[in-house]
Amino acid sequence: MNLGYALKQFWMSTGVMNMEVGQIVMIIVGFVLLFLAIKKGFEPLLLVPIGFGAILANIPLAEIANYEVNGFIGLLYHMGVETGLFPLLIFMGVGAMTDFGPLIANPKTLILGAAAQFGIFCALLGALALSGTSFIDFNLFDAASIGIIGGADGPTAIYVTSRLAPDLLGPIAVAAYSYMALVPIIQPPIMRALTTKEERQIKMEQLRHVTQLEKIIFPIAVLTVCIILLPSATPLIGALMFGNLAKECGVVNRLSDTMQNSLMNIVTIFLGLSVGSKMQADKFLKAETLGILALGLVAFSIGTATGVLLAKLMNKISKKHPINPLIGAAGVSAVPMAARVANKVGQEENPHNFLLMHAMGPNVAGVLGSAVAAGVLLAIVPVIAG
Amino acid sequence: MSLMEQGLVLMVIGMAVVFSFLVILIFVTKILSAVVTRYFPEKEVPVKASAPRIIGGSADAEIALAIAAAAAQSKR
Repeated sequence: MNLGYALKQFWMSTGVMNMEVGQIVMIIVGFVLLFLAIKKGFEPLLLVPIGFGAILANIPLAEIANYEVNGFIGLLYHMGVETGLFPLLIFMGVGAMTDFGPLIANPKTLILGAAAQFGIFCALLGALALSGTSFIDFNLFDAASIGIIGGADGPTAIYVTSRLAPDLLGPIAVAAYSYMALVPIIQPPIMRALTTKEERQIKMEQLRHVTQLEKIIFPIAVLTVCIILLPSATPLIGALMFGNLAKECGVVNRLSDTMQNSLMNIVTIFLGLSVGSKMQADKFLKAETLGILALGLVAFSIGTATGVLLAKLMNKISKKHPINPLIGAAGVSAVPMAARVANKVGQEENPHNFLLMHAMGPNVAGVLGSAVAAGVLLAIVPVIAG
Repeated sequence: MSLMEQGLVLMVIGMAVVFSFLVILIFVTKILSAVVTRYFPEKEVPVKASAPRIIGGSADAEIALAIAAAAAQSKR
């Protein structure tokens, strides 16, 4: 052992000597995500941890994303994402932050949350059609997980994928979260294309006041329906409704506060880093990833379109209570971004038209709808695939 | 069953379940609201005493009152 040999060994262990092209590409992707978050303000709470996780996971030799050698992000991923734990904790926080008041005041907007789930099943079919081609191979489990991106609900997508197709978690989580961040860019052109100027100007009646008792009973009622009809959706719906009950009942404000803030923030950090860690070059730079990103976009756009179209139809049918078709687009969950987009597109036509509260109804209905769709997929995909 | 047929079956069942679930939820919510507002109406929250109204007062007096209210607001 001499000095020269030791120096050579050290040189061989530097990042420069061990970097592969794929890793460089993925680290650049990580930096792009950070740029989008910091400079452009796209969902910074998600993209900062995801982008940084992507960079950390692609560092040669460090094995930060490998839980077998106790890489710290690998451990987070193994314990929270593979088990489906983090998405459920996030759902609890979402429940504690959600006000179902607008939905209770105007329950028929629930149906818009159902219409927007059509994108899920279209993308599912699309994935199966793609797998006929030679270079991509998706089975039914993969296709169902890809479809759920159309629910525009990150936690739901991760939960379903961790159950059905854990191998695809990386690209699916990335697609789900990036489309949630891109809601303000993807949705407005579709919304404008499908509605007329007059429809976008429609003013809706003010929502009635909802009593506290209604808000307390609502989560229990939803959970009851779910227990009876679709037990496979109860982990998601149950966590959501537990959080919501804690918020509305008014006697456990400390717990509700923790769910909304501290717990939510902690899990967001863990989940973001874990999702980023799945952007490892050897697993991410594949034809499948491109297919998943494309299908996710299709799913999301179709969901937006069917939501708007059903809202148009509802507006035609109910002359007495006009419905602005723009709120249909909020039926793809992505709370509260999609509702804000509906409000913004409405105000482009008429600055005095406030659609935000009206759009919150379909928006939270979309969360329920995608959770129900997730429950259906979890329940019947294994049966059909046999 | 081919892969595409399986996908179509999933689509039909999936959309049917999602729609029926949420339609059932519409009715449950409506019944819930009807029962609650009918049998357990919320007690009227006493409205805070509003600023004293000037009966038959002049426009100037009303403006003076508005200025006083604004001043009180800004001191707070």
